[in-house]
Amino acid sequence: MTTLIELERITKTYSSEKSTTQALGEISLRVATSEVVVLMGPSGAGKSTLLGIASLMIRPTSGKVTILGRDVAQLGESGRDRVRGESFGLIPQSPRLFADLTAVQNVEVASLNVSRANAREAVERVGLEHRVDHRAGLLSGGEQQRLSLARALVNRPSVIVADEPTSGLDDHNAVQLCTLLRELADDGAAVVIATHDARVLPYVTRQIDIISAGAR
Amino acid sequence: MRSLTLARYLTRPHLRRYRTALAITAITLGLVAYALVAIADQSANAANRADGLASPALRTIEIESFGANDDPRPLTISEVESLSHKEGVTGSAVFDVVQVAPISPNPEGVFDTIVVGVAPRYLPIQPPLKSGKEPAGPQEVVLPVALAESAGLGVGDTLTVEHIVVSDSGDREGVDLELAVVGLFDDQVKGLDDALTIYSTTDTVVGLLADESGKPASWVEERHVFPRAFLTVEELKDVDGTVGALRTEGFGATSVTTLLAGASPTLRFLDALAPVVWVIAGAMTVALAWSIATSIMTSRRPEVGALRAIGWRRAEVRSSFAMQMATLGLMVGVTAAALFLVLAAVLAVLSGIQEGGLLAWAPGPSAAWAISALSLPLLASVAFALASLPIVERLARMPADAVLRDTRE
Repeated sequence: MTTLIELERITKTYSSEKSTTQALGEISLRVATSEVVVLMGPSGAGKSTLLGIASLMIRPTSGKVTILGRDVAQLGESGRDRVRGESFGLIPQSPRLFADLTAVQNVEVASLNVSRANAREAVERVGLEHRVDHRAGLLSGGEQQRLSLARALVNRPSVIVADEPTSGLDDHNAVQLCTLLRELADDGAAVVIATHDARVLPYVTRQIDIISAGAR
Repeated sequence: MRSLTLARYLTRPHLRRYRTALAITAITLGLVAYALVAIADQSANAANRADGLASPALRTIEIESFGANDDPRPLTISEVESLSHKEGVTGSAVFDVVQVAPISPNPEGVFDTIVVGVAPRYLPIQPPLKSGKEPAGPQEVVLPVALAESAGLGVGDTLTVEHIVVSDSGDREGVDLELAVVGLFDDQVKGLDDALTIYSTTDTVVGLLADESGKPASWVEERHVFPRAFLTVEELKDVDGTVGALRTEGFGATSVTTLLAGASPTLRFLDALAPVVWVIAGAMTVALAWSIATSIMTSRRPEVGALRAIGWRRAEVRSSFAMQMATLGLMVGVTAAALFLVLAAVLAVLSGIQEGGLLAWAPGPSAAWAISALSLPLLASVAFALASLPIVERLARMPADAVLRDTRE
């Protein structure tokens, strides 16, 4: 197994004029291919912040971030955007799809060099073949979250990060989504999920409990 | 190129969602474009039509003589010819002759002759021809239509008059002179002269003056003091200055145009109106574009947040939404151009059907139509793109982790 994400002694502090908030204490994390790692903990523990740092959306206050074997400290914003676009797939808590666009169009615009055929294939892979040309705004919550997964996997990313992916889904849809994430890991991707939903646990390789400000 | 793909996909929904605001913008632009063309047309008409402000009569200055002995600069033909800033000039004298052929029908039944005045033909201040040609050769004259009818004369006839000739011995005697009628002028147009004035060439009038004074024509040209002269300047705006200059040089100069406190306030108003209308229309277009852009960008923030999170670069967000706004502007401009053309065509046809009616002001087909129709899409597109630029920029600057914000613990 190859290590795809390596976070060493990461801290994150948010500062404003009035206050300073430590979102993450010193925390280290390694995620390898075919792993499904779940970051669990109560609200405010720093799960999403850690997810953001692991996916190059947030810069840590201190510590070292290595992605796909490369130290990303020197990368500028566009470089981080590029790495994220090429190697990551993201499933946000709310799908944030373009409601006016069809399912396949939403997937098509997500990544560079994605053909209509690739997009259609991704939509079909998440079980939405009957909804390919339906407007995203007309899909159910579960279907939208699966479409979000299709958008994340269309460029065949090495890492999938998911922020509360089962939030608001019923059991059936939650199971469907977790099964798909597990399949992606089985195909070689690394999956990192931030959640406090215990329904994902049967599908994970490793559970990391974040209790408070990154302590575990 | 995904930014182009997204722009392509989102333009139609945006057109649908904002159709009312876009339609209002298009209608406004179409109407304003038509108003601008109509204003420009009116301005050009007022400035260029010979029966409007371009009439040479308005550019003509009357120069008066103070009398042969007192005038610091006597109005001789040679003086008049030497005046500067002129488009045309003439010395003017009405030389009375007696028409010896009977006037028929004679309205009073008493006189069978009539005294007519002969003056030099000077088109800027005299009625236009109805038929025939302008006098050019010796003893050629043009007559008012009414006088010609009452005398039973037409173009090609000869008018016999009697004029005074001073002999070498100083005796004055009446001598018949045959004048060739080469044209008839429109006496319905009121000129400066009375109804019994006929016009001939300056040389003919000089010849009559020479006969009456017993001097040679060359003497008349050099020394005869005309009671008045007319000078036509090249442009209306030159009238004031030329009148002033003539007075400074010692001539008595007047022009009705100087009494109008500037004959071109209409022109100035029309000229000033066009940019004002244009600025108002531009401001309205920009305001509507701004409003639409704000609404679009606000409603698209969550989706754009997701795009940033999955690796869309700021430049891609910027270019995609700028393209969308430019395309919306283009659609507005094309619609406005179509509306403009339809409106212009309909009004032009209606004004043609009812000539001189309520729509007489409607401009006919011209290059301005094509220029407006072609420039509207371009201008609207640029206006939309520029108006939305700050908002698009703000959207593009959305941080990649915004997608996590509402769930950040």
